[in-house]
Amino acid sequence: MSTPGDSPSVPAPRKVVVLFRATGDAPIMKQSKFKITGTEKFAKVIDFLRKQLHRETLFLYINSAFSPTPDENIWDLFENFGIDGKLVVNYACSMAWG
Amino acid sequence: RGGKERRKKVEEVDFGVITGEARKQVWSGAVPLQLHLHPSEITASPAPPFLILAPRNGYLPLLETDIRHHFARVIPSNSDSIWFDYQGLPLKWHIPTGVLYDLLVAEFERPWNLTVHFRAYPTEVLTLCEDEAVKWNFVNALKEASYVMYGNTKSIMNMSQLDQVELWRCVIKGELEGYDRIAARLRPGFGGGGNWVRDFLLSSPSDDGVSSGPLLRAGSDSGRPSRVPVRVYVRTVDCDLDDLLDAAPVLSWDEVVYTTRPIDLRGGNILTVRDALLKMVPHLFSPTEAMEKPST
Repeated sequence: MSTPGDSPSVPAPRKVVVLFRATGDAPIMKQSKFKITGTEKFAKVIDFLRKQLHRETLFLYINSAFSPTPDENIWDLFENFGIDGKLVVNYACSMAWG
Repeated sequence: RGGKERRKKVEEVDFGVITGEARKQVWSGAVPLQLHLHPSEITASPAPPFLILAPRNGYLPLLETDIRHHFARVIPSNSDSIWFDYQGLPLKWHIPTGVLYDLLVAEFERPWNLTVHFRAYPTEVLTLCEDEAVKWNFVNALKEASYVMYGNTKSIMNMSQLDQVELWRCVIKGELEGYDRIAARLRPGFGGGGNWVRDFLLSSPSDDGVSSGPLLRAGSDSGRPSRVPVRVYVRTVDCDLDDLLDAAPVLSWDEVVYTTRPIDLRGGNILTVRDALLKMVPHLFSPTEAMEKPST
C-alpha cells in the first residue's frame, strides 16, 4: 500500500489564505487575513482564533453556512468552499446560523 | 432495438432495487460491542463487561444512558464525560460507529472490545462532547453536504423544529423510511412523495439531453444537485505487509487520512463509487486501472 508521501494526489504543503469575519457581537480583529499550511486540520484554525481573541467558546463557520469538524483538512475546505482564493471563516461568540 | 431498450429498463429497475436494499442493510446494520470499564476508574469490585448492539449509522456517545445504567454500581460519583478507546486509541465520537469499526479493525473481531471511560477526557485528541454535540455535529454535516449539492444551506436552515427533531430521531433509531420522508423535503423545489434517493440515482444526467446538463441547472429549482459530497477515510500502513492482518493497531489518528471532495455528476454516465474513488484517492489504484476509462 502506498503512503500519502509518494502519492501524486497529495500536493506539497501549500498555504491557504484564511479570511476571518466577525459575526454578531464578536470582537473584530485588527488583522483579518492569515496564511495557514494546507495540510493542517481545521482544529488549528479554531485554536488560533481562541488564542487571538482570548475566548474559550467560539463558533466558527465557513461562508456563513456550516461548521466543519475540527478534523477537516484546510486544503480540502479551501478547494471545496474557497471564494476568490480565500477561505472565509466567520466567527461568533454565540451560536449563529443554528 | 426495442429489446435493447427493454433490457436497459430492466437493468435500471434492478439497480434501484439493489440500491434500496444496500441502504436498508447499512441502516439496520449493527456492530456488537463488548464494553469494559477502565480498571482505574471503578470504585467497587470489577463489573462484568457490557454487551450492546451499536447501530452502524449511530455514534458511540448515544449509547451513554444504557452504559451508565449497566455500570451504575461501580462508576465513581465524580464521573466526567464518557469516552471510548480501542487498544489505546481514543475514538472520535463524531465518526459513525460502523466507520470506526471498518477503519480500525483489521482482524475480524466480534464482539468489538472497547474500553469505556468516565474520567480523564483526552482533550488533546478529542473535542469535547457536551450535550447535543452529537446532534449538532450531524446537522452541520448535513449543512456542509447541502452546501456542496446546492450551493447553499437554505433547506436545512428552513427546516421546521419538528422536522429537525424527527430527522434526528430517525437517525438514532435507524428508521430509514422516516428519514427519507423528511430528507426528501430538503431538496429545493421538492414536489412531494416518492423515493428521492432512488429517483436521484436513476435519473442519469443523459435523461435531460446534452444541452441541459445538471451543471447548467445548478442552483435552479430542479432539485437535482450537480455534485455529491463524498468523504473517504484511508488508513495508511507505512511498511510492506503480506497480510493486512499483520498490521499493528492504529496508535494515532495521524495514520488516518480523511478526505472530503465534491464529486461532479457531469459527463452523462451513471457514476459508480469506483469512479469517485479513482478521482479522490488515485494513489490506491494501480496506474493502469487509473488510466482506464471509468466503466458505467
